Amino acid sequence: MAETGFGAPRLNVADLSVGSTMPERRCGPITQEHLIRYAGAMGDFNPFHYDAELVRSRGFKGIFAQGLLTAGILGQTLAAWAGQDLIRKFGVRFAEPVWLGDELVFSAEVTRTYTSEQGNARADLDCIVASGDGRHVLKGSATLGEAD
Amino acid sequence: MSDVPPTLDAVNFAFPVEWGKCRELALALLDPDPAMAFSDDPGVVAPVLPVPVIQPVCSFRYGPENAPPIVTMSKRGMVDRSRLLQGGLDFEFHRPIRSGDTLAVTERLANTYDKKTSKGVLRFLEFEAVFRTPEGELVCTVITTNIERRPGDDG
Repeated sequence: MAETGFGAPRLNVADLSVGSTMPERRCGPITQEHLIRYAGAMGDFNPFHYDAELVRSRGFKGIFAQGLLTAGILGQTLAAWAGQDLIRKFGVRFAEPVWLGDELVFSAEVTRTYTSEQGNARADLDCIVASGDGRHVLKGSATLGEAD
Repeated sequence: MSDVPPTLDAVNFAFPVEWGKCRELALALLDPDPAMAFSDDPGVVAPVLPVPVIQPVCSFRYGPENAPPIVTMSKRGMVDRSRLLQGGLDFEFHRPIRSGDTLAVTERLANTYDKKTSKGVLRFLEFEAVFRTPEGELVCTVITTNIERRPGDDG
């Protein structure tokens, strides 16, 4: 499907089937610069993401990335593949911290296809963000399809 | 088990979805779309709001008169923000959000509950934010789950 602008559909959801996958994307290593840039854009300066002494005093081994940074990269990757207009639902659960230096792998796979009450094709996906050492740092889900 | 403090009012205010903010967030989120990364002409591109960051966009509009529920709870000693972790987020989009939109948000504490885990008792707080157009069209609903680590759970 031709792109007609930001967010426009880039695939036909009816063409997806169980097992269809989003092209895998690799990012990283995650650096303090990523966290600072994100904190500035968000206006959220939680010291857990820059104060090593504080995070260690709270039982963590070091500075870790904002959960929404990882979720956001996943969301933008999904949007770049499908077209943001097709994203009906998007959910994330933060399973493990993303430490400075982690490399991340973003993937998603169709687990169910169906038709909405209004007759629009729908595809449910499971999303995973894995670290280079094999930890699943984020588990997510998404539903793609035209709005009813 | 629901344990919603009855004294916490919902927050409600309107805010613009700004082109530059959308682009700034997209770049911070390593947007893979080169058009988003390199175009700086708002007359040519109309960036959509990155998927999971609608709340940060409106959070810049928070103030003393419309503080988000989590800030109000912190000021009232109902939660220790230094012990909060993000548990998860759930978005439902009824239509895309584009720069140039004006949205009204209503945000409230929807639910709290405790869970026993191997690390002790964790307190879960669920905040619901509902975004509508000024005309009342439902645009997006977001459920944010925060987890409060109780003292003694460290390490």
